[in-house]
Amino acid sequence: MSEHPSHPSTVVALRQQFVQRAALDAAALELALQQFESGPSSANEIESLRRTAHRLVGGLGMFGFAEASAEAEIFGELTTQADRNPDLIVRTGRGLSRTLRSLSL
Amino acid sequence: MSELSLSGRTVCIVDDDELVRNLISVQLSQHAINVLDAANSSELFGLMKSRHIDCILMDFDLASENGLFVQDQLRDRFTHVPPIIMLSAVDNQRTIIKAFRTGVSDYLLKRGLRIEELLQSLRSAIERRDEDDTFKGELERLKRQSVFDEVTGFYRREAIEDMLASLAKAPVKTRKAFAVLLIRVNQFDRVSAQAGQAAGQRVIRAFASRLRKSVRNVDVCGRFDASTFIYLVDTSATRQEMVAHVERLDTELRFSLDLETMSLGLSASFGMALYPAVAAEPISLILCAEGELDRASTAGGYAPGTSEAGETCIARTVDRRGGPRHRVFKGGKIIFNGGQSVVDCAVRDLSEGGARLRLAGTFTLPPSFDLLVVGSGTARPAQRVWQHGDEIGVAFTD
Repeated sequence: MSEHPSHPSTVVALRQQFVQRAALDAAALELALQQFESGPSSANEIESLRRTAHRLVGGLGMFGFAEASAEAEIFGELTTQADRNPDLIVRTGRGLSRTLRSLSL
Repeated sequence: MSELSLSGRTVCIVDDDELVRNLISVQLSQHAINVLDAANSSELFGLMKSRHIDCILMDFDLASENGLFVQDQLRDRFTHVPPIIMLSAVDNQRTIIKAFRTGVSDYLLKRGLRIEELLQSLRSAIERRDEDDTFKGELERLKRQSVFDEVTGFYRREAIEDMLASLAKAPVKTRKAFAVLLIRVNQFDRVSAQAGQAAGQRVIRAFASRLRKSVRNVDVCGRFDASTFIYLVDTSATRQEMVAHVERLDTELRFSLDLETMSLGLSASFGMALYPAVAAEPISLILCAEGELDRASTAGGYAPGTSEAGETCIARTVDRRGGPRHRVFKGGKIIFNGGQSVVDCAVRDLSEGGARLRLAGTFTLPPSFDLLVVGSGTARPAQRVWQHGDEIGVAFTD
Protein backbone atom coordinates (compact mmCIF):
# COMPACT_ATOMS: atom_id res chain seq x y z
CA MET A 1 0.00 0.00 0.00
CA SER A 2 1.59 3.26 -1.00
CA GLU A 3 0.91 6.78 -2.10
CA HIS A 4 2.05 8.35 -5.33
CA PRO A 5 2.17 12.13 -5.07
CA SER A 6 4.81 12.31 -7.77
CA HIS A 7 5.95 8.96 -9.02
CA PRO A 8 9.58 8.87 -10.10
CA SER A 9 9.14 5.95 -12.46
CA THR A 10 8.26 6.47 -16.06
CA VAL A 11 6.09 4.31 -18.23
CA VAL A 12 9.16 3.18 -20.18
CA ALA A 13 10.98 2.11 -17.05
CA LEU A 14 7.93 0.21 -15.86
CA ARG A 15 7.60 -1.48 -19.24
CA GLN A 16 11.22 -2.54 -18.99
CA GLN A 17 10.52 -4.05 -15.59
CA PHE A 18 7.51 -5.81 -17.00
CA VAL A 19 9.52 -7.37 -19.85
CA GLN A 20 12.13 -8.57 -17.37
CA ARG A 21 9.45 -10.07 -15.21
CA ALA A 22 7.84 -11.71 -18.25
CA ALA A 23 11.08 -13.66 -18.82
CA LEU A 24 10.87 -14.93 -15.24
CA ASP A 25 7.19 -15.74 -15.76
CA ALA A 26 8.17 -17.74 -18.85
CA ALA A 27 10.66 -19.80 -16.85
CA ALA A 28 8.10 -20.41 -14.10
CA LEU A 29 5.53 -21.38 -16.68
CA GLU A 30 7.93 -23.87 -18.31
CA LEU A 31 8.54 -25.48 -14.95
CA ALA A 32 4.83 -25.71 -14.20
CA LEU A 33 4.16 -27.24 -17.63
CA GLN A 34 6.85 -29.89 -17.07
CA GLN A 35 5.17 -30.88 -13.81
CA PHE A 36 1.81 -30.86 -15.55
CA GLU A 37 3.19 -33.17 -18.29
CA SER A 38 4.85 -35.59 -15.90
CA GLY A 39 1.72 -36.69 -14.08
CA PRO A 40 -1.71 -35.85 -12.77
CA SER A 41 -1.74 -32.32 -11.39
CA SER A 42 -3.41 -31.23 -8.21
CA ALA A 43 -6.22 -28.68 -8.22
CA ASN A 44 -3.84 -26.20 -6.66
CA GLU A 45 -1.32 -26.59 -9.47
CA ILE A 46 -4.03 -26.06 -12.07
CA GLU A 47 -5.32 -23.02 -10.17
CA SER A 48 -1.79 -21.67 -10.02
CA LEU A 49 -1.53 -21.94 -13.81
CA ARG A 50 -4.88 -20.23 -14.20
CA ARG A 51 -3.85 -17.38 -11.93
CA THR A 52 -0.56 -16.91 -13.77
CA ALA A 53 -2.45 -16.79 -17.04
CA HIS A 54 -4.94 -14.28 -15.66
CA ARG A 55 -2.21 -12.01 -14.31
CA LEU A 56 -0.45 -12.16 -17.66
CA VAL A 57 -3.63 -11.30 -19.57
CA GLY A 58 -4.09 -8.13 -17.52
CA GLY A 59 -0.44 -7.13 -17.35
CA LEU A 60 0.31 -7.78 -21.02
CA GLY A 61 -2.82 -5.87 -21.97
CA MET A 62 -2.00 -2.90 -19.78
CA PHE A 63 1.60 -2.70 -21.01
CA GLY A 64 0.56 -2.73 -24.64
CA PHE A 65 1.25 -6.34 -25.63
CA ALA A 66 -2.23 -7.03 -26.97
CA GLU A 67 -1.43 -10.17 -29.00
CA ALA A 68 0.47 -11.76 -26.16
CA SER A 69 -2.42 -10.88 -23.87
CA ALA A 70 -4.85 -12.68 -26.18
CA GLU A 71 -2.54 -15.71 -26.21
CA ALA A 72 -2.47 -15.73 -22.41
CA GLU A 73 -6.24 -15.49 -22.34
CA ILE A 74 -6.60 -18.62 -24.50
CA PHE A 75 -4.15 -20.44 -22.26
CA GLY A 76 -6.14 -19.35 -19.21
CA GLU A 77 -9.37 -20.59 -20.76
CA LEU A 78 -7.79 -24.00 -21.43
CA THR A 79 -6.68 -24.34 -17.82
CA THR A 80 -10.31 -24.20 -16.74
CA GLN A 81 -10.83 -27.48 -18.62
CA ALA A 82 -7.47 -29.08 -17.85
CA ASP A 83 -8.79 -32.66 -17.94
CA ARG A 84 -10.06 -32.39 -21.49
CA ASN A 85 -7.03 -31.11 -23.39
CA PRO A 86 -3.82 -31.64 -21.46
CA ASP A 87 -1.72 -31.76 -24.63
CA LEU A 88 -3.26 -28.56 -25.91
CA ILE A 89 -2.57 -26.85 -22.60
CA VAL A 90 1.08 -27.84 -22.80
CA ARG A 91 1.44 -26.73 -26.43
CA THR A 92 -0.34 -23.43 -25.83
CA GLY A 93 1.61 -22.85 -22.64
CA ARG A 94 4.93 -23.43 -24.37
CA GLY A 95 3.88 -21.05 -27.10
CA LEU A 96 3.00 -18.43 -24.50
CA SER A 97 6.32 -19.00 -22.80
CA ARG A 98 8.17 -18.34 -26.06
CA THR A 99 6.12 -15.19 -26.59
CA LEU A 100 6.98 -13.95 -23.11
CA ARG A 101 10.69 -14.50 -23.71
CA SER A 102 10.52 -12.64 -26.99
CA LEU A 103 8.87 -9.52 -25.60
CA SER A 104 10.90 -6.41 -26.19
CA LEU A 105 10.50 -2.70 -25.68
CA MET B 1 -21.06 22.09 -19.89
CA SER B 2 -17.38 22.14 -18.98
CA GLU B 3 -15.55 18.88 -18.39
CA LEU B 4 -14.98 17.90 -14.77
CA SER B 5 -11.39 18.48 -13.69
CA LEU B 6 -9.74 15.50 -12.06
CA SER B 7 -6.96 17.63 -10.65
CA GLY B 8 -6.71 17.13 -6.90
CA ARG B 9 -9.10 14.20 -6.88
CA THR B 10 -8.02 11.03 -5.13
CA VAL B 11 -8.19 7.68 -6.85
CA CYS B 12 -7.34 4.38 -5.22
CA ILE B 13 -6.05 1.53 -7.40
CA VAL B 14 -6.67 -1.96 -6.08
CA ASP B 15 -4.71 -4.59 -7.99
CA ASP B 16 -2.61 -7.51 -6.89
CA ASP B 17 -0.04 -6.79 -9.63
CA GLU B 18 2.35 -4.14 -8.37
CA LEU B 19 3.59 -3.25 -11.85
CA VAL B 20 0.05 -2.64 -13.04
CA ARG B 21 -0.62 -0.44 -9.99
CA ASN B 22 2.54 1.51 -10.65
CA LEU B 23 1.75 1.95 -14.34
CA ILE B 24 -1.72 3.37 -13.64
CA SER B 25 -0.33 5.50 -10.82
CA VAL B 26 2.24 7.11 -13.09
CA GLN B 27 -0.32 7.79 -15.78
CA LEU B 28 -2.88 9.30 -13.39
CA SER B 29 -0.29 11.33 -11.50
CA GLN B 30 0.60 13.03 -14.77
CA HIS B 31 -2.95 14.46 -14.69
CA ALA B 32 -2.54 15.87 -11.17
CA ILE B 33 -4.65 13.09 -9.66
CA ASN B 34 -3.73 11.96 -6.16
CA VAL B 35 -3.17 8.24 -6.34
CA LEU B 36 -3.36 5.68 -3.55
CA ASP B 37 -2.92 2.01 -4.10
CA ALA B 38 -3.75 -1.23 -2.38
CA ALA B 39 -2.84 -4.83 -3.19
CA ASN B 40 -5.91 -6.32 -1.53
CA SER B 41 -9.13 -5.54 0.30
CA SER B 42 -7.62 -5.20 3.75
CA GLU B 43 -5.22 -2.51 2.50
CA LEU B 44 -8.15 -0.81 0.79
CA PHE B 45 -10.22 -0.86 4.00
CA GLY B 46 -7.30 0.70 5.86
CA LEU B 47 -7.14 3.53 3.33
CA MET B 48 -10.90 4.00 3.41
CA LYS B 49 -10.73 4.63 7.15
CA SER B 50 -8.04 7.26 6.91
CA ARG B 51 -8.39 8.94 3.53
CA HIS B 52 -11.02 10.52 1.39
CA ILE B 53 -11.23 8.61 -1.89
CA ASP B 54 -13.15 9.95 -4.88
CA CYS B 55 -13.06 6.77 -6.93
CA ILE B 56 -11.77 3.20 -6.69
CA LEU B 57 -10.19 1.42 -9.66
CA MET B 58 -10.49 -2.22 -8.77
CA ASP B 59 -9.13 -5.29 -10.46
CA PHE B 60 -12.01 -7.67 -10.95
CA ASP B 61 -9.93 -10.74 -10.19
CA LEU B 62 -7.67 -10.09 -7.24
CA ALA B 63 -5.28 -12.79 -6.05
CA SER B 64 -7.62 -14.41 -3.57
CA GLU B 65 -10.67 -12.20 -3.87
CA ASN B 66 -13.29 -11.23 -6.33
CA GLY B 67 -13.85 -7.54 -7.05
CA LEU B 68 -17.60 -7.83 -6.61
CA PHE B 69 -17.15 -9.50 -3.23
CA VAL B 70 -14.84 -6.68 -2.14
CA GLN B 71 -17.44 -4.19 -3.33
CA ASP B 72 -20.07 -5.90 -1.13
CA GLN B 73 -17.72 -5.80 1.84
CA LEU B 74 -17.09 -2.12 1.30
CA ARG B 75 -20.81 -1.41 1.36
CA ASP B 76 -21.21 -3.43 4.54
CA ARG B 77 -18.38 -1.64 6.30
CA PHE B 78 -18.66 1.94 5.14
CA THR B 79 -21.59 4.29 4.82
CA HIS B 80 -20.04 6.31 2.03
CA VAL B 81 -18.45 4.11 -0.63
CA PRO B 82 -16.88 5.94 -3.57
CA PRO B 83 -17.82 4.91 -7.09
CA ILE B 84 -16.03 1.76 -8.25
CA ILE B 85 -14.63 1.17 -11.72
CA MET B 86 -13.81 -2.46 -12.39
CA LEU B 87 -10.65 -3.16 -14.36
CA SER B 88 -10.50 -6.62 -15.76
CA ALA B 89 -8.62 -8.91 -18.05
CA VAL B 90 -11.83 -10.86 -18.54
CA ASP B 91 -13.95 -9.92 -21.54
CA ASN B 92 -16.91 -12.00 -20.50
CA GLN B 93 -20.34 -10.57 -21.20
CA ARG B 94 -22.05 -12.33 -18.32
CA THR B 95 -19.43 -11.08 -15.89
CA ILE B 96 -19.74 -7.55 -17.23
CA ILE B 97 -23.54 -7.56 -16.94
CA LYS B 98 -23.30 -8.97 -13.42
CA ALA B 99 -20.85 -6.26 -12.46
CA PHE B 100 -23.09 -3.48 -13.72
CA ARG B 101 -26.08 -5.00 -11.96
CA THR B 102 -24.24 -4.82 -8.66
CA GLY B 103 -23.71 -1.12 -9.17
CA VAL B 104 -20.19 -0.69 -10.52
CA SER B 105 -19.74 2.62 -12.21
CA ASP B 106 -17.87 1.23 -15.20
CA TYR B 107 -16.15 -1.92 -16.40
CA LEU B 108 -12.94 -1.44 -18.37
CA LEU B 109 -10.86 -4.07 -20.08
CA LYS B 110 -7.19 -3.93 -19.29
CA ARG B 111 -6.21 -5.03 -22.76
CA GLY B 112 -5.67 -2.03 -24.96
CA LEU B 113 -6.83 0.38 -22.26
CA ARG B 114 -5.97 3.94 -23.25
CA ILE B 115 -5.37 6.57 -20.60
CA GLU B 116 -7.96 8.89 -22.20
CA GLU B 117 -10.57 6.17 -21.83
CA LEU B 118 -9.65 5.67 -18.18
CA LEU B 119 -9.74 9.41 -17.47
CA GLN B 120 -13.15 9.77 -19.10
CA SER B 121 -14.48 6.89 -17.06
CA LEU B 122 -13.13 8.49 -13.87
CA ARG B 123 -14.68 11.84 -14.80
CA SER B 124 -18.09 10.27 -15.42
CA ALA B 125 -18.01 8.23 -12.22
CA ILE B 126 -16.95 11.14 -10.01
CA GLU B 127 -19.31 13.58 -11.69
CA ARG B 128 -22.28 11.25 -11.18
CA ARG B 129 -21.32 10.73 -7.56
CA ASP B 130 -20.96 14.49 -7.00
CA GLU B 131 -24.44 14.98 -8.44
CA ASP B 132 -25.82 12.19 -6.27
CA ASP B 133 -24.17 13.65 -3.18
CA THR B 134 -25.54 17.10 -3.95
CA PHE B 135 -29.00 15.66 -4.44
CA LYS B 136 -28.78 13.58 -1.27
CA GLY B 137 -27.43 16.57 0.67
CA GLU B 138 -30.29 18.75 -0.51
CA LEU B 139 -32.79 16.01 0.29
CA GLU B 140 -31.31 15.61 3.75
CA ARG B 141 -31.35 19.38 4.29
CA LEU B 142 -35.00 19.57 3.30
CA LYS B 143 -35.81 16.59 5.47
CA ARG B 144 -34.03 18.10 8.43
CA GLN B 145 -35.58 21.45 7.74
CA SER B 146 -39.02 19.94 7.92
CA VAL B 147 -38.35 18.45 11.35
CA PHE B 148 -35.71 20.68 12.88
CA ASP B 149 -35.47 24.40 13.29
CA GLU B 150 -32.48 25.73 11.38
CA VAL B 151 -31.53 28.39 13.93
CA THR B 152 -31.64 26.31 17.10
CA GLY B 153 -31.41 22.73 15.86
CA PHE B 154 -34.41 21.92 18.07
CA TYR B 155 -37.54 20.29 16.75
CA ARG B 156 -39.93 22.51 14.90
CA ARG B 157 -43.30 23.21 16.45
CA GLU B 158 -45.07 20.93 13.98
CA ALA B 159 -42.84 18.02 14.94
CA ILE B 160 -43.62 18.54 18.63
CA GLU B 161 -47.30 18.76 17.87
CA ASP B 162 -47.00 15.49 15.96
CA MET B 163 -45.39 13.93 19.03
CA LEU B 164 -48.22 15.18 21.19
CA ALA B 165 -50.71 13.81 18.71
CA SER B 166 -48.96 10.44 18.95
CA LEU B 167 -49.23 10.59 22.71
CA ALA B 168 -52.91 11.35 22.31
CA LYS B 169 -53.36 8.21 20.25
CA ALA B 170 -51.99 6.03 23.04
CA PRO B 171 -54.70 4.23 25.02
CA VAL B 172 -55.81 6.44 27.92
CA LYS B 173 -55.00 3.73 30.45
CA THR B 174 -51.39 3.53 29.38
CA ARG B 175 -50.76 7.26 29.12
CA LYS B 176 -48.39 8.59 31.72
CA ALA B 177 -48.42 12.06 33.15
CA PHE B 178 -46.54 14.56 31.04
CA ALA B 179 -46.06 18.28 30.83
CA VAL B 180 -45.82 20.98 28.21
CA LEU B 181 -43.62 23.89 29.15
CA LEU B 182 -43.42 27.02 27.03
CA ILE B 183 -40.40 29.25 27.51
CA ARG B 184 -40.44 32.72 26.01
CA VAL B 185 -37.44 35.02 25.69
CA ASN B 186 -38.41 38.24 27.43
CA GLN B 187 -38.24 41.45 25.42
CA PHE B 188 -37.29 39.57 22.27
CA ASP B 189 -39.31 41.85 19.99
CA ARG B 190 -37.58 44.89 21.42
CA VAL B 191 -34.13 43.33 20.93
CA SER B 192 -34.90 42.39 17.33
CA ALA B 193 -36.31 45.82 16.60
CA GLN B 194 -33.35 47.66 18.11
CA ALA B 195 -30.43 45.42 17.23
CA GLY B 196 -31.72 43.71 14.12
CA GLN B 197 -32.72 40.23 13.08
CA ALA B 198 -29.19 38.84 13.23
CA ALA B 199 -28.91 39.93 16.86
CA GLY B 200 -32.28 38.36 17.51
CA GLN B 201 -31.02 35.07 16.10
CA ARG B 202 -27.95 35.26 18.32
CA VAL B 203 -30.19 35.69 21.33
CA ILE B 204 -32.28 32.68 20.29
CA ARG B 205 -29.16 30.59 19.69
CA ALA B 206 -27.75 31.58 23.06
CA PHE B 207 -31.00 30.58 24.76
CA ALA B 208 -31.13 27.33 22.82
CA SER B 209 -27.59 26.52 23.83
CA ARG B 210 -28.35 27.05 27.52
CA LEU B 211 -31.62 25.22 27.27
CA ARG B 212 -29.96 22.26 25.57
CA LYS B 213 -27.63 21.90 28.56
CA SER B 214 -30.52 22.07 30.97
CA VAL B 215 -32.94 19.58 29.47
CA ARG B 216 -32.81 15.91 30.25
CA ASN B 217 -31.97 13.43 27.51
CA VAL B 218 -35.39 11.87 27.77
CA ASP B 219 -37.21 15.16 27.23
CA VAL B 220 -37.86 16.89 23.93
CA CYS B 221 -37.28 20.51 23.08
CA GLY B 222 -38.61 22.46 20.16
CA ARG B 223 -39.01 25.96 18.83
CA PHE B 224 -42.59 27.09 19.25
CA ASP B 225 -42.42 30.47 17.56
CA ALA B 226 -39.90 33.24 16.95
CA SER B 227 -39.22 33.87 20.63
CA THR B 228 -40.66 30.81 22.34
CA PHE B 229 -39.40 27.31 23.00
CA ILE B 230 -41.57 24.34 23.77
CA TYR B 231 -40.37 21.69 26.15
CA LEU B 232 -42.15 18.37 26.35
CA VAL B 233 -41.56 16.35 29.49
CA ASP B 234 -43.14 12.99 28.87
CA THR B 235 -41.88 10.83 31.69
CA SER B 236 -44.17 10.93 34.69
CA ALA B 237 -43.99 14.67 35.21
CA THR B 238 -45.41 15.71 38.55
CA ARG B 239 -46.33 19.24 39.47
CA GLN B 240 -43.76 19.33 42.24
CA GLU B 241 -40.97 18.16 39.96
CA MET B 242 -41.96 20.59 37.23
CA VAL B 243 -42.11 23.56 39.58
CA ALA B 244 -38.60 22.70 40.75
CA HIS B 245 -37.53 22.31 37.16
CA VAL B 246 -38.96 25.67 36.15
CA GLU B 247 -37.20 27.27 39.11
CA ARG B 248 -33.91 25.84 37.91
CA LEU B 249 -34.52 26.84 34.30
CA ASP B 250 -35.44 30.34 35.42
CA THR B 251 -32.02 30.67 37.04
CA GLU B 252 -30.11 29.10 34.17
CA LEU B 253 -31.84 31.21 31.56
CA ARG B 254 -30.91 34.49 33.21
CA PHE B 255 -27.67 35.62 31.61
CA SER B 256 -25.92 38.44 29.81
CA LEU B 257 -25.14 38.42 26.13
CA ASP B 258 -22.69 40.87 24.60
CA LEU B 259 -23.56 41.98 21.11
CA GLU B 260 -21.40 44.33 19.06
CA THR B 261 -23.42 47.37 19.98
CA MET B 262 -24.97 46.49 23.30
CA SER B 263 -24.95 44.16 26.21
CA LEU B 264 -28.22 42.44 26.93
CA GLY B 265 -29.55 41.08 30.18
CA LEU B 266 -31.72 38.17 29.15
CA SER B 267 -34.39 36.20 30.95
CA ALA B 268 -37.40 34.06 30.16
CA SER B 269 -41.05 33.65 31.05
CA PHE B 270 -42.65 30.28 31.52
CA GLY B 271 -46.05 28.78 30.99
CA MET B 272 -46.76 25.17 31.81
CA ALA B 273 -49.59 22.68 31.75
CA LEU B 274 -49.68 19.11 32.97
CA TYR B 275 -51.51 16.16 31.52
CA PRO B 276 -53.97 14.69 32.44
CA ALA B 277 -55.49 17.23 34.81
CA VAL B 278 -55.81 20.20 32.46
CA ALA B 279 -56.98 18.73 29.18
CA ALA B 280 -58.35 15.45 28.00
CA GLU B 281 -56.39 15.69 24.77
CA PRO B 282 -52.65 16.30 24.96
CA ILE B 283 -52.66 18.86 22.17
CA SER B 284 -54.97 21.07 24.26
CA LEU B 285 -52.21 21.42 26.81
CA ILE B 286 -50.38 23.76 24.49
CA LEU B 287 -53.30 26.16 24.53
CA CYS B 288 -53.37 26.12 28.30
CA ALA B 289 -49.62 26.60 28.56
CA GLU B 290 -49.81 29.40 26.00
CA GLY B 291 -52.42 31.25 28.01
CA GLU B 292 -50.29 30.98 31.10
CA LEU B 293 -47.23 32.08 29.21
CA ASP B 294 -48.98 35.14 27.81
CA ARG B 295 -49.90 36.14 31.32
CA ALA B 296 -46.39 35.59 32.58
CA SER B 297 -44.78 37.41 29.65
CA THR B 298 -46.96 40.42 30.14
CA ALA B 299 -46.39 40.63 33.85
CA GLY B 300 -42.75 39.54 34.00
CA GLY B 301 -41.22 38.06 37.17
CA TYR B 302 -42.32 34.87 38.78
CA ALA B 303 -44.91 33.23 40.99
CA PRO B 304 -46.41 29.82 40.55
CA GLY B 305 -50.10 30.18 39.91
CA THR B 306 -52.88 27.95 41.04
CA SER B 307 -55.86 26.71 39.20
CA GLU B 308 -59.04 24.91 39.81
CA ALA B 309 -58.02 22.24 37.36
CA GLY B 310 -55.93 20.47 39.92
CA GLU B 311 -53.20 23.12 40.08
CA THR B 312 -51.79 21.97 36.82
CA CYS B 313 -51.17 25.26 35.10
CA ILE B 314 -48.20 27.27 36.18
CA ALA B 315 -47.14 30.65 35.03
CA ARG B 316 -44.00 32.33 36.08
CA THR B 317 -45.17 35.84 36.71
CA VAL B 318 -45.44 38.55 39.31
CA ASP B 319 -48.47 37.84 41.40
CA ARG B 320 -50.26 41.14 41.61
CA ARG B 321 -53.35 39.64 43.05
CA GLY B 322 -54.36 40.51 46.61
CA GLY B 323 -56.01 37.16 47.18
CA PRO B 324 -56.29 33.70 45.67
CA ARG B 325 -57.37 33.44 42.05
CA HIS B 326 -60.34 31.32 41.07
CA ARG B 327 -60.54 29.97 37.59
CA VAL B 328 -63.99 30.74 36.27
CA PHE B 329 -65.76 30.96 33.00
CA LYS B 330 -68.47 33.54 33.36
CA GLY B 331 -69.97 36.16 31.16
CA GLY B 332 -69.04 39.76 31.84
CA LYS B 333 -69.82 43.26 30.65
CA ILE B 334 -67.36 46.12 30.50
CA ILE B 335 -69.27 49.34 30.95
CA PHE B 336 -67.78 52.77 30.26
CA ASN B 337 -68.57 56.15 28.75
CA GLY B 338 -71.19 56.77 31.44
CA GLY B 339 -72.99 53.55 30.62
CA GLN B 340 -73.26 54.45 26.92
CA SER B 341 -70.74 51.78 25.86
CA VAL B 342 -70.83 48.11 26.79
CA VAL B 343 -68.39 45.43 25.65
CA ASP B 344 -69.10 41.77 26.32
CA CYS B 345 -66.31 39.63 27.70
CA ALA B 346 -65.58 36.30 29.33
CA VAL B 347 -64.27 36.36 32.88
CA ARG B 348 -61.58 33.66 33.09
CA ASP B 349 -59.90 34.24 36.44
CA LEU B 350 -61.43 36.04 39.35
CA SER B 351 -59.91 37.04 42.65
CA GLU B 352 -60.82 39.51 45.34
CA GLY B 353 -58.59 42.17 43.82
CA GLY B 354 -58.99 41.64 40.08
CA ALA B 355 -59.80 39.48 37.10
CA ARG B 356 -58.56 38.20 33.78
CA LEU B 357 -60.94 38.91 30.95
CA ARG B 358 -61.11 37.66 27.40
CA LEU B 359 -62.74 39.87 24.82
CA ALA B 360 -64.48 38.75 21.65
CA GLY B 361 -61.91 40.74 19.69
CA THR B 362 -59.14 43.22 20.20
CA PHE B 363 -60.62 46.46 21.52
CA THR B 364 -58.99 49.57 22.85
CA LEU B 365 -60.58 50.02 26.22
CA PRO B 366 -60.33 53.07 28.46
CA PRO B 367 -58.01 52.79 31.46
CA SER B 368 -60.95 52.51 33.84
CA PHE B 369 -64.43 51.15 33.56
CA ASP B 370 -67.02 49.15 35.46
CA LEU B 371 -67.03 45.38 35.25
CA LEU B 372 -70.23 43.48 35.67
CA VAL B 373 -69.77 39.79 36.26
CA VAL B 374 -72.99 38.13 35.17
CA GLY B 375 -74.77 36.66 38.16
CA SER B 376 -72.96 38.79 40.73
CA GLY B 377 -75.59 41.47 40.61
CA THR B 378 -73.18 44.40 40.95
CA ALA B 379 -70.80 46.25 38.67
CA ARG B 380 -67.41 46.97 40.25
CA PRO B 381 -65.11 49.80 39.22
CA ALA B 382 -61.97 48.40 37.65
CA GLN B 383 -58.69 49.59 36.18
CA ARG B 384 -56.89 48.00 33.23
CA VAL B 385 -53.53 46.68 34.42
CA TRP B 386 -52.37 44.88 31.31
CA GLN B 387 -53.63 43.90 27.89
CA HIS B 388 -52.26 41.25 25.55
CA GLY B 389 -54.29 40.86 22.39
CA ASP B 390 -57.80 39.94 23.36
CA GLU B 391 -56.90 39.30 27.00
CA ILE B 392 -56.79 41.95 29.68
CA GLY B 393 -56.00 41.94 33.36
CA VAL B 394 -57.95 44.28 35.59
CA ALA B 395 -57.68 45.39 39.21
CA PHE B 396 -60.81 46.32 41.13
CA THR B 397 -60.58 49.82 42.55
CA ASP B 398 -63.45 49.76 45.03
